[in-house]
Amino acid sequence: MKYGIPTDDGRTVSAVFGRAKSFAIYDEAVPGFSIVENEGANSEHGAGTGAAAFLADKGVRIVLAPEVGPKAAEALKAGGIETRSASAGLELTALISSLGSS
Amino acid sequence: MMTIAVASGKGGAGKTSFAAALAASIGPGSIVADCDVDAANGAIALGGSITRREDYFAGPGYRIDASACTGCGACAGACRFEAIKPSADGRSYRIVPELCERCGACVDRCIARAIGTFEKKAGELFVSQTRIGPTLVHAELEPGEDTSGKLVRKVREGSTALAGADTAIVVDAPPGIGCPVIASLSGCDLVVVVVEASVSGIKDAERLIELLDSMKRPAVGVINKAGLNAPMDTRAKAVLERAGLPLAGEIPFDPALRSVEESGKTWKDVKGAAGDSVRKALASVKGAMAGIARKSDHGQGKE
Repeated sequence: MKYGIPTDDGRTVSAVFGRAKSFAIYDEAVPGFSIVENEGANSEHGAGTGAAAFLADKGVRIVLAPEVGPKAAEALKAGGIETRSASAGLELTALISSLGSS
Repeated sequence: MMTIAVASGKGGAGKTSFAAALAASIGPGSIVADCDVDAANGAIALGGSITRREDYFAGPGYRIDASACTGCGACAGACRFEAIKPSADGRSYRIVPELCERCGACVDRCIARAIGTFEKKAGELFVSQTRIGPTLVHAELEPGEDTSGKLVRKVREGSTALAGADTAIVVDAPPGIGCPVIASLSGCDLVVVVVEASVSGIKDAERLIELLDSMKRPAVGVINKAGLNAPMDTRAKAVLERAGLPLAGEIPFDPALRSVEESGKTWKDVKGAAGDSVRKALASVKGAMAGIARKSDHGQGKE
């Protein structure tokens, strides 16, 4: 199961989704997590839907974020990606270790 | 750091006035992020003077090099926005910047490879000091330009960069419920919904409340221009109650509110009954802010 979490600083959860500077990708099968730059962060249009497509391409099935805009939410749903709430500012390491119990 | 957005749905409901009064009431340490980048009025409400400015580039603009252009007109044929016109001497073509949507279709069609890109300024970002006290972060989009959501994000980032751990940022949201509004509301701790007590004011507030619901933002309501039509006031209250938004206050329609702004102050300084309702609403909003601060995990509990 792959998770995607928006992060600006690579350490904590970002308050935004579509224009977050990067995403932390956590794969249950692999220890640790990787940070991938969100190329769409600076795009003129469709940053939210672009981020949804970006994560879908990476095989993410669950997004953990404080909030996701309406169009991004639709795109994630269409891609079969579940969205779960996660507080902004939460440490990524803490959030990811709490996922083991799901 | 706490971020409070003031939004309404309808334009002219009283967002900027209320946001200015809220920031003035919090104090000179607060920051106002004026996110109405199409028609910014925060600087007027707060008496701003610009201390810093920065050009905003949304994306590349396209330009035809007249000397390389063969005048074939394929670009104009490709353009779906009628943005490419013959030049004055008829020997080449030129792209009208205000009409160009930057789709790049012309570039694909040009055999002479005469179309190149340039950094097209789409707006400007500012930081201003204000006579009222708070620091103002604001921006203006060039007419005809889009990417307002992206520019609002930059205003938000600019205000966060200036904020300390104890700073309150008041976000003056634009009207509507589109991308610039979403960018204004995202990551805010509290949203104040200003409901103008009129048919369209209430209808637009309902659309905003729907958006807030999907974004799961905690919100309170302030009814503005009350006292003109009792059934309308009742309807406004009912809409807020149905949505579960606590009523922070009810501000009557009163010319004194406009005169105080014309004299260079904010609503919080109005004398009389109207001023009392404003101050009551402000106290209520600050109470909601304190409640959120107490609940937050980041130890920001301040009494």
